[in-house]
Amino acid sequence: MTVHAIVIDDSSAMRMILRRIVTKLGFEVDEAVNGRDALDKLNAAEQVPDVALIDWNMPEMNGLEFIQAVRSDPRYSRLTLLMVTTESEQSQIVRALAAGAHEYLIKPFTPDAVAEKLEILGLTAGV
Amino acid sequence: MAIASTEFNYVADLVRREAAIVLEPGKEYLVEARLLPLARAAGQTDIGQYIRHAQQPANREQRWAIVEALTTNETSWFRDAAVFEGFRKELLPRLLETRPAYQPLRIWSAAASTGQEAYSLAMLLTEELGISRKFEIVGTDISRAVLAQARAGRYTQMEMNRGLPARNLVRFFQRTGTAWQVDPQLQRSVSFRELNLAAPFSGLPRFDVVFLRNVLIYFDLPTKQTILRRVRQTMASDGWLILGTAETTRGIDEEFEHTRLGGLTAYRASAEAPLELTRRA
Amino acid sequence: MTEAMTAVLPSAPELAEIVDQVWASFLEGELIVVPEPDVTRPYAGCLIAWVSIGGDWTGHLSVVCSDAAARSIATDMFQLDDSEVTTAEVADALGEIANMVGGSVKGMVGANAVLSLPQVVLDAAALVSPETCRLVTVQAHWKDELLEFSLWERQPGNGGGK
Repeated sequence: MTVHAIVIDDSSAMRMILRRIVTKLGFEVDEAVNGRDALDKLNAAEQVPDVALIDWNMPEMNGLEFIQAVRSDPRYSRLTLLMVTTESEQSQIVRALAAGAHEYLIKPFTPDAVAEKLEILGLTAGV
Repeated sequence: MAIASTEFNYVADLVRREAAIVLEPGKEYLVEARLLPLARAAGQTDIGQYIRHAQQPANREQRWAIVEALTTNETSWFRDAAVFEGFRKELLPRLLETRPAYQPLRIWSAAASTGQEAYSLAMLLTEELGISRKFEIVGTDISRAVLAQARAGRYTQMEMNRGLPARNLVRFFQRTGTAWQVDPQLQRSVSFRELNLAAPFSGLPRFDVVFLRNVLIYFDLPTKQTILRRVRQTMASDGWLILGTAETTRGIDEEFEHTRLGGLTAYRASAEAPLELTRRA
Repeated sequence: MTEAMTAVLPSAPELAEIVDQVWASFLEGELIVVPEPDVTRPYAGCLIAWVSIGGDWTGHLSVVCSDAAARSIATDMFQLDDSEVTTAEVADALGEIANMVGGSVKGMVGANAVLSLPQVVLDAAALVSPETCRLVTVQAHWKDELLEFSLWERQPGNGGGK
């Protein structure tokens, strides 16, 4: 079964990089430009994606706020949340995990690093 | 920038002689990729020139650097998640059941490289055992450069990103400058030493589990046989050997028998009395 | 445990290492750091992208390069031909570089730091910043272009404004 991902990042370059990587892993990919846009897309979607790759610092609604919104909505209880951000302090990682992020990847990253995080999350077979 | 076949052959001979590792024709890309950073660091942009320079009798250090560069594996944390899950859920409970609680578990990470496998095991055991049980992990490698990093326990952000679960990063590492430092307590449970798998082993304790992953592929068959025989001798009679997911003892050493443990294939010496493999209820 | 920390800025080699990791991840071709950067180099005709860091340390991280270098960065990141990238994509790519380098710097300068969204200006010389002082500079050659990464500290006693 195809895994469905949504990439949420205000940078179109970063969305393109992540889209390329997860497409190569066989995922189907949607994009959103911030947390608000992503919530709208989730709301309108017939099927909730399997995984969201979420930037932290974005205008309108940031990644942490998005995670909090998604975690308080039972419709999205099966959505896996992977934070992909330049925020690299331990305290920030703790905050994201406490809010409900399942995994955390720090920018910059290589394609292997993305694949390994998705493997930890049980979304890909071994790399 | 392709290297000439004479240069490739020189490197292949050198690595075979010093580390018994076979570089077949077609691995030119590997030689180029591994030696380019060394050549650049030496102020040369041409790998061929770098290799020719290494051939001069006085340049022993440079030859050693080449051997090290080609025997180092790229490594990630908890590499092959299914292996660690099988270890955690299936193999570890069996070990704990068959060994007295006062006896520390001893594990060998036999191609330790920069230490990710050894520290991954230490993290897993810390989580699973708490303070109830002691364990010791020995990491060995032929390369002094990687062992220095493994001992330091210091990793770049890029290395941290490679398969380390976020909760482990938070629990076991501290940021220092641009890098991350492994927790001193975790570090104390792991020791590293230089060891050439292709030469007789000495000074190793008796291991309950040996991780020998993705390293046999580099050796020719007689060397593989010798290594597996020596590894068997370092293992407890009911100890386990774990190879890379694409590797097997079959066709190399028939004294091992394999057991499937979840996503993990583990090998035991078959000459010894078989261990009861009854599952716990 | 929450005693006030003195912000420790990355040294030039550390800033170079941060930049190098970004390059190794997303860009093709080698980045060669200039041993002694020339900080008098004029910004005329260059693009500048920056992020601001607020908290224990307040200042900016800037990336300055020519239009051609910025286009090269965008073509690498988007994996498009040069003729296909738009000005918006060039600005986005350069901004994301500043974001990633700035994010790593923020991780080093102490707790309670906040990172702004990246800003990009097409004429770096137009950006006068009297209330800041440049503390760390890395210059590097990449694809026959010179790139510059700098850390600017906001001077106390001055008002806001960029």
